[in-house]
Amino acid sequence: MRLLIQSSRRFFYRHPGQLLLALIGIAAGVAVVTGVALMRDVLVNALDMAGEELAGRDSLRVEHPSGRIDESLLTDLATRSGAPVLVPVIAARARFDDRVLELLATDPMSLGGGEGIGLGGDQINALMRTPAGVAVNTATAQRLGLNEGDRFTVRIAGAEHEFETATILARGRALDDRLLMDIAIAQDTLRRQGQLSWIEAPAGSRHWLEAELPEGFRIETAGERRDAAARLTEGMRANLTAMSLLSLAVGLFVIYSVLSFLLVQRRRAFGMLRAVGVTRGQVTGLLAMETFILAGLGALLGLVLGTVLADQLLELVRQPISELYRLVPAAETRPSGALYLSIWTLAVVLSQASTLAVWQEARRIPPGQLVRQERESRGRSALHLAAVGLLLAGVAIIMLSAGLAGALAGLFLALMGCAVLTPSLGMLLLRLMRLPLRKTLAGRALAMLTTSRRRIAPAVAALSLALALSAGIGMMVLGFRVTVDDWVDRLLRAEAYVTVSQGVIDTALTEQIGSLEGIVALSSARQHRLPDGRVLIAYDLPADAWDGFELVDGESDSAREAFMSGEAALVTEPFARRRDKGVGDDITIDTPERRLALPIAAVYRDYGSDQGAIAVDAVHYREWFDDQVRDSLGLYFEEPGEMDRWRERLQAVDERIVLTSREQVRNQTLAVFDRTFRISWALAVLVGIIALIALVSALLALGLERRRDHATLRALGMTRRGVTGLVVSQTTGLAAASALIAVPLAIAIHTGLTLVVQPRAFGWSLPLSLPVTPLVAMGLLALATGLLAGIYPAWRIASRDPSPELRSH
Amino acid sequence: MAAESVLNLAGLTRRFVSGGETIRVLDGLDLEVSAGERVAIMGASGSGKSTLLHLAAGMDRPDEGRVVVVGHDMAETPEPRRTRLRAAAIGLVFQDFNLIDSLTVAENIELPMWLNRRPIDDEATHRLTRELGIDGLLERLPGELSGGEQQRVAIARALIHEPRLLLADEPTGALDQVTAAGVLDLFDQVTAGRDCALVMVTHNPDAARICDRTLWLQQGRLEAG
Repeated sequence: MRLLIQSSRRFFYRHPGQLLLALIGIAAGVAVVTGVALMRDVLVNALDMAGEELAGRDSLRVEHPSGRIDESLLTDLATRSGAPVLVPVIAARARFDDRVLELLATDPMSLGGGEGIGLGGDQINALMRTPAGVAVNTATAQRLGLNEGDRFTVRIAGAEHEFETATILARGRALDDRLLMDIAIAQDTLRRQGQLSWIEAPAGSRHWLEAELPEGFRIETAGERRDAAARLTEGMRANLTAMSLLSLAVGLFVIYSVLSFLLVQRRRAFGMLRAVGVTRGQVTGLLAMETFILAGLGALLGLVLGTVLADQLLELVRQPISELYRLVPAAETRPSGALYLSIWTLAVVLSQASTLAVWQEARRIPPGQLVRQERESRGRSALHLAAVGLLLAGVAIIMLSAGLAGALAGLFLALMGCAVLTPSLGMLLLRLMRLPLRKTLAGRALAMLTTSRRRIAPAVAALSLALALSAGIGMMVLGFRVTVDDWVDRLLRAEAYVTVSQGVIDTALTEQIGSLEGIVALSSARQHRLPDGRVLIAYDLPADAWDGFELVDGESDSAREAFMSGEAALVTEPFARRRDKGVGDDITIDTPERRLALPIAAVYRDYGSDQGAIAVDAVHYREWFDDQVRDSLGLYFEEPGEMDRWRERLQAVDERIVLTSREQVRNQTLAVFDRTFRISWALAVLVGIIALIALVSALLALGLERRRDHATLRALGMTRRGVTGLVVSQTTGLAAASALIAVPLAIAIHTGLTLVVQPRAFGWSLPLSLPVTPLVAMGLLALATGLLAGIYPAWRIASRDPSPELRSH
Repeated sequence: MAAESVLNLAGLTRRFVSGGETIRVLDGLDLEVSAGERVAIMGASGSGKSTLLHLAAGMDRPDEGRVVVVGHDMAETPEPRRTRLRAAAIGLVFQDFNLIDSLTVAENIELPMWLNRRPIDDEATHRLTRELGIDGLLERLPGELSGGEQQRVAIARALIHEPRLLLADEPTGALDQVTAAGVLDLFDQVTAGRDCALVMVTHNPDAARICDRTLWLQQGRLEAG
């Protein structure tokens, strides 16, 4: 075995390019998986890091279903016997330009020194003495462009507040995108005197709290908070995980491609070794060891790259997460040995599994390698049958399951089935492409390709799969964007929308605005979070505004009548799907006075929140909840006028008024949408890069394997331009065939994502459209890739005289 | 009237550096081959026989001396034209056949016609392949053939475009005695009726029987046998 290992080592020394590509291929796949896994972890576990920094690991949180706690409770608890250290907290979402931050206000003196976040005596003094002073960590200060003493404006609950950077904390990565404030200052600033959001308590104080807390309060553990975050972000995380696994699958094609090339290169050597007594087992063992070392090293490299990548990916999802789920995730990933070990093991095991076919081929090499070459057809029908089986199993799982996991698993299996079928389709396409070019250089080049099936099969599979994935995701996102655009267009019936920079919109202000000449109608919206987390939206709807609801279930006229009379509610499609509710089902709403049971009059289309919402008539809402506030007003003008003149008129009524045109709201909504899908684009690009590595690896292998052929062609009189044309025709032909196969595959992926994955992940249904731009872009990208991938090997081949090449053989 | 010269090698020198030592493989070698003439070149392993053929074909460049093929001085001919001249005027047969594995027998044979942008004459191809006994193998891949069959395909490929000069580098080196004798007979047969000069580098003493001249390559120069 020692001699076998020696021969293997020398072989790799002689082919460093192949070795490098194999390492890069597997490393890239593992990097994406690692990056996404670390980022997913932040979305669940690290959300709680700020809480941990304030009150220690696995701290408990005392909350009230109303979301507010009277401060007197803290005073009362703190004075009782055996009281643990209790940390009062006020939390609020704050918007700084486009960035969502979290204002966390607490009593700095209760932080036990605050060493975890680097809050020393001087910083505490600065924080408590600066009016509207906040502490931020270095990373946040850099991101927001703040220095100590700088004043800046944020919007909290629609109102603008001016804060001052009292101190910058050197440590405390958990406070990324968080503004730390003294609680007394926060209560004054936010006009929440005497109120707390929650109380943090140390992990071991549960029994004490259970005994001492009055009725109606709940103690939430860190685990429960993590579970809640996990449920909220489940759809997004599952989609990201599925994409990362597909990246790994494409990476595995690279390793298969490289190892099968290495086998072809050593076929004769293995035959000779078998002739002198090396057993099949020893040959298999050698290949298994090579795979282990290659995959192991590549996976290690991938773990390092993935850790770096995680920060970039996290940056892409932080804002959508805060916009969609009202969560401000930490900016720091928490790599763990267990996570690294599990990803490394997965990569190594899958690499070994993906090269089983190569081992099988190696075992079949006869001693002496004396038999003549056979046409490559053996065992292909069995492979095709297995692929069709995978495809059908995938479709069956999608159809028979109801959950997201089933949809993703089914899609994954179906895609793998397609990937196995693609080489045969690729060969068929290359043969068809060859027909009109039969006697040309390109035709000859394609003919040479079709007999190298083993070499190019992994590249065709990886490239088709990756192109289809990129184009399919692109089609889904573009189709979704068009749907959202239509939806926003329909939803926004008013010409302009009013919010206020400070304070609230109350009934008096609403009436003042409504009485302005030229305003024919007003709509309003008020969002109210129920104690159980459900979102209630109260609408004042003039006649025109009702058409903004696109009903997916229910009859419009009767639903409207029931809604306006306060006898029924509407629910969004995600709400209905997540809670398995439909028209006629009752929903219960606890008001301060009584429990309401409202039947659902209709289900309407909504892409605003994947958690869903209940819509009720605002007149009745104000009565039930005694809440006279509106979050925003919609203005219906008699005649559309200039927005600046309306702004002046409205600010003359109240200078706090902020007027936003319908077009601006629409653009802001689409901007949120675009930010949400940046991560999908980023992953699609990463998959594309891995596929490019697969293609280059396969082409390099092909070029090395065909060196003698190319030298012979040069010897027979093929010019350098001819050889260049031959090689570039091959790479471009290969890419074109892969792109053609990717077209139906992309449409299938788009259909699966749109009709199955989106509804199951986020609860909303999407009409299926077929945007062709991603397909055209994919085709052009594939051709450019093929062209570029061929230029270097072609240059290498063409720049050499044939004589040395022929001699070396 | 003297026969036209198709190959003229004059003062040909070629050096290689191996293990830090410069080896003068060819040292002022001269050779003139006329149209239709058949020359066998014999010599020990490593004596420079293959180097001589590669230089004659314009696949390698001499350190000194001239190579003139059908009136073209290779040193003065730019690379693309040199390649086109090789495609048009020279047929090459290698010891290891050097067939393109990914092309069928028919496609391999048609290669020179295609490279010379000449139409494929099916009748001529059929005649040649029948003459060589490979007309039943046209749709096979090279890997599916025996060594003897592969060399016949290589000969067909070298002759299909009716070159003025056929260069054969140990064409029987990889074949057993009986097959080698058969291949030599074929060379004799297929070159006899054509106005094609043959330069055959070989170890096989039997090659002499089909050639007009036999030369020995010793210490970088050719000597009559």
